[in-house]
Amino acid sequence: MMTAPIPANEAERIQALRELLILDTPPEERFDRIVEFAAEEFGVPIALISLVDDDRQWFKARFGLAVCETDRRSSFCGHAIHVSEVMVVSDATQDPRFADNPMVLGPPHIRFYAGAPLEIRPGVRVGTLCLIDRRRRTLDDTDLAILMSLRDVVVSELLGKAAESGS
Amino acid sequence: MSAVAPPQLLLVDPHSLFRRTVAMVARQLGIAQVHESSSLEAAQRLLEHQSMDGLLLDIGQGLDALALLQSVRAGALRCPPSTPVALTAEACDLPTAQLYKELQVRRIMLKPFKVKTALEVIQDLARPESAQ
Repeated sequence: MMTAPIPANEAERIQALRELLILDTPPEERFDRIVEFAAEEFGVPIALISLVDDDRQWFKARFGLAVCETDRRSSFCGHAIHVSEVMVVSDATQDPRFADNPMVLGPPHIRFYAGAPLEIRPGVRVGTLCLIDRRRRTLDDTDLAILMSLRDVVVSELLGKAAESGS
Repeated sequence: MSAVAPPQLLLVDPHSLFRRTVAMVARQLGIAQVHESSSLEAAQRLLEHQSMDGLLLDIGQGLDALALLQSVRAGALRCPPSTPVALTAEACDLPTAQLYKELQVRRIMLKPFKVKTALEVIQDLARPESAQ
């Protein structure tokens, strides 16, 4: 298994994450509805808002997963925060980074992963909005645009900029 | 060379996350500029002042959207009477479907449906009539 690498701007990233004052806070409907909506839209059993902390990934919102955090070393999201684009792993069993990952070999038996990084300012990605399935999948351009739009809603909520648009 | 303005569509739906996602993706993919409205009353007010190239209306619990649609067809609002319209509904029986047909409703989408499906319908509404 390839351990999730540490970004070059890790200290700044962790500082930005802590300043959000969101780690270990109770579930909130405004985030829960986004993961539920994403799970229904994409027909996946698991959707998460994952925040990548020092040595763990902590889930601010989770659909279809019982645990509220996992270790960072084996996290998919720890990889996804390295790029600004959506990271798609169509089949984790065929990807050398994840093929022997404990979350692939055991519960929740991840096969498909798509993580849209939560970039709260340029280059500073504190986590992801991610989709997980137990079967191989792909995303087309429209799927990616939908996931990125939902990700943008999460970022707006994190930054407190979420205003009800429309009349 | 001047840029072609994207088609203007009005989406009326009470579900804010659905509206917001549809509008953002439609803009991102260059399908249409989607204006959002959470209620038929707000939509009516908007359409009194602004024309649209297409309407996607939630019919709601009752048949309130029909009054709005009838106003459009009667030319009482800024939209041309022939403006393409699609409806979303919880259910639809045959007499109601016939009524919608008489009002030239192009498509009825039964809930629940996906954002992706709504985008396909919006793409259809945004298409010029000559391309139908």
